[in-house]
Parts: sequence; structure tokens; C-alpha cells
Amino acid sequence: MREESPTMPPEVELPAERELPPAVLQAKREQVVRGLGTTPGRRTTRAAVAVLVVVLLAAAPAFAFRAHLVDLFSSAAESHPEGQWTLPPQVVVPPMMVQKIASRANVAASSLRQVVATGTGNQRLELVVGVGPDGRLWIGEGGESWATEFVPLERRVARSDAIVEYLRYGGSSAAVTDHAELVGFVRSDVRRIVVTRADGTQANSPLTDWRGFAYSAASPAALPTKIEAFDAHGRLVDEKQVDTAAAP
Amino acid sequence: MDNQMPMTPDAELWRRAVDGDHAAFGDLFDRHSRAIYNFCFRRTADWAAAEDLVATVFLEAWRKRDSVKVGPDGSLLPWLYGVALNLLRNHRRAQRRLVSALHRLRGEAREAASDDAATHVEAVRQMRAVLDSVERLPRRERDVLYLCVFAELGYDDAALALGVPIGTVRSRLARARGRLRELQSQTKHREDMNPNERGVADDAA
Repeated sequence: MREESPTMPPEVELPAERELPPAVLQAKREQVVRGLGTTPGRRTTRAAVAVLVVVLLAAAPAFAFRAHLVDLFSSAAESHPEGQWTLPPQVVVPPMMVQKIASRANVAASSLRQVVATGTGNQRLELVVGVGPDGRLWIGEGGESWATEFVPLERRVARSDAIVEYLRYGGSSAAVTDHAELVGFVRSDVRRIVVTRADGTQANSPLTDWRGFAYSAASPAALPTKIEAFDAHGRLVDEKQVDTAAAP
Repeated sequence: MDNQMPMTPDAELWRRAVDGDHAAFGDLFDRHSRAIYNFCFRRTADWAAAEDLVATVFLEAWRKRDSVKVGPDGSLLPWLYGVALNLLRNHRRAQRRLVSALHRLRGEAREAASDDAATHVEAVRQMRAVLDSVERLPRRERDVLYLCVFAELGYDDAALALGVPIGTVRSRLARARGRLRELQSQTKHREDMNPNERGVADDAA
């Protein structure tokens, strides 16, 4: 006799369904909606490629080829209408120590995301975010053998902040600072981070795909003194003074 | 499956999304992300991978929007399951070697560290046990099982998702269930023997 409804054999039990954590749900929704504008359909892709080839071939003799290509792709990055703090996708599994500390704060292990890492050995510094027991983003830092307590992101940022930064620094004596590691996480509207050094020069600190940035200084002249965040239109959206003068 | 009637039919939200109303696609995401998330978990036995795959499934659906199919009840969910099924097949192929090694090393610890660790770890263990059996089935039978049992689709919706006649879904499912029941009974027989019974059995032997 045929089964009239598709059911599992009774001896096989499936685990209960589960809800996506609210912060993850929000982040994924934003990722999907944002991706619509940059995800062409299959037919559209073929048509767009054909049109692009024709246009580029036509434009090549008259204009600088490379400059036009750069313009085409940079315009696609300006799809963030406003800034939000959202959970990045998971790519790298954080160190075990960070996972343990996160569990103490009831931050869901499956939600942990390493947004950026810098340095090696004892100088290793990783910034990790996850979804806390309140369903909101929590943040912590750590390395292979150490980690700080996770705290709600809201506790680390004011309403207008677009940057949350963590700094570790030290030197050959208590009165000297000669190296520093800086990592940070930025709001979704930030496109560029500029670090001003102690000697007055500036450096662009590239953003990772997960909206993290890192800066490393190996000499007193290179110590960071200021971080500036700019949006897609080049507007300054946040600025942080960095103090490495005191003994760690 | 959710029996509540949606305020706006999926097809209407889809039409608005295609017309440029991206918020309408967001509404579709809100409506079906939970189902897709749990389906991805049941296919991977990995909560973190399921989280990461949810958005990918919807973006892949958007990429394949020229081939959208609305189900008999006006729902896009069967088609979304079909998209997820294909994506997961490719995902499994690409990730199997690399990720399984990583998960063996770190996955257990990650799950064990979570707030409701016992529940999550038990779900992962339970799902892996089911997948161990299901993945021994031929692919076509497996796909039907994923849709009809893991996603709880009806025969007609599964047929739509797979692009095959309803009769084919029925026959494949019947074969899958027969094989699976056999595999399950073999596994269960081994697991049901507690240490004392095993000892008795060993003594008897």
C-alpha cells in the first residue's frame, strides 16, 4: 500500500526547529536586501556582460580604459544607505580561549565572528563579535592564550559612534611606548579608515570584508594618535583620539 | 509548515521585489528565513553553516529569479527549498573535505560552549546520525526525502521544487523509506544493545 502523506519512519526523529537569533536575522536580512542591487539575474548577467564588452570596446580608444573600470566597480560599493551595527558573516573561527570567554557571557558560540586580527604570538590581537543573551551584538577581544570579557556593543559605543576600537600597546620600560596594536569594528556606513600617526603622517587602514580594521605600530613615530572614519561620500562620520602615552 | 495565511501573497511580494521594491523581498526573507535556516541545518547538521547559508539561499533565489515557480497554494517556499537543495549540494561538494576536518576539531567545542549547549549539541548529534543513514541513499531518493521529510513539503510541492511529476516523488520516497528503514533498523539494533546485553551476547558467543 502506498503512503498517502510523506512522513518519516517513526524510528527516525528529527531535532526540533530553532529560531535565528534576532541580531543574526537582522544582519542576514540586511545582507540579502543589500545584495539585490548587486546580484543580477542569469539572463541579465549575460546581457550585461555583452553590453559591457561593447561599451568598453567602444570607449577604449577615447578614454582611459582602467580609470573607467575602477569607476564602474566603485559605484557598486555605494549601496549602504545608512549606518547600522550588524553581525558579519562567519569566515574564521575565533581561538578557543575567546570561545570559552564568550560562553561565560552566554554569547552564542555559533554566532561568534572574527572581524579582524593582527599581530602574531603574544602580540596577537583579534576582535570578535557575537550575539549575546539579549539577542544583541556583544564584542570582545583576545588572542590564542587570552581574552577579555565580552560586553554588549551598546556599552562600548555612543549613539553617534561609527567606530569601536581596541588598543594594546607597550614598550621596553613603563615610561616608554614603542609598539601598539589597534583593531576596530565599524558601522555599516563606514567605507574608509584613516589613522594619524604620532609623527603627523597618515595611513589608510583597509577595511576587511567584515567591517574590521587593524593597524600595527612598531616604533614611537608610528604610534596611532587619531582614527577617522569616512562614509562612501567621503564625509567624516566619526573621529577617535588614541592615547598611547600612559604606561600600559 | 505554517498554516497561517500571509497578509500579502508571496507572488505579490515577489512581483513588487522584481519591480524594484527591495523591502518586499525583505518581507519574503522574514517570512521564509526560519524554514530555510532549519532546512539548511537538517542538511548540514551544523548551526553555524546554516546561519551562513540562509542569506546565500535567498540571494541565489534572486539570481535565479527568471526561473521562479509559485506553488499551488501561492507560496514561494517549495521553490526556495529547491534552490536551497541545489545550493547545499554544491556547498557540500565544495566544503566536505575542508570543513568536515575543521568541524571535527572545533565544531564540537563551539557548539558545546553555547548558552543552551545541551540542546544544540544534542540536535547536532541527532541530525548527524540521521544524515549518516540518509546520505547512503541514492541522490534522487535523498533529494525527495530532504524535501518531503526534512522540509515537510507535500508531494505536489516537492514535485514543483524538483521539477518532476508527483508520481515520481511518491515512488522515490517509497523506495527511500524502504531503504532507510532497513538502514535504521540495522543501526538501531547495534545501538540498542546496552553493555550488559553486549556482555551476555559476548558470553553466549
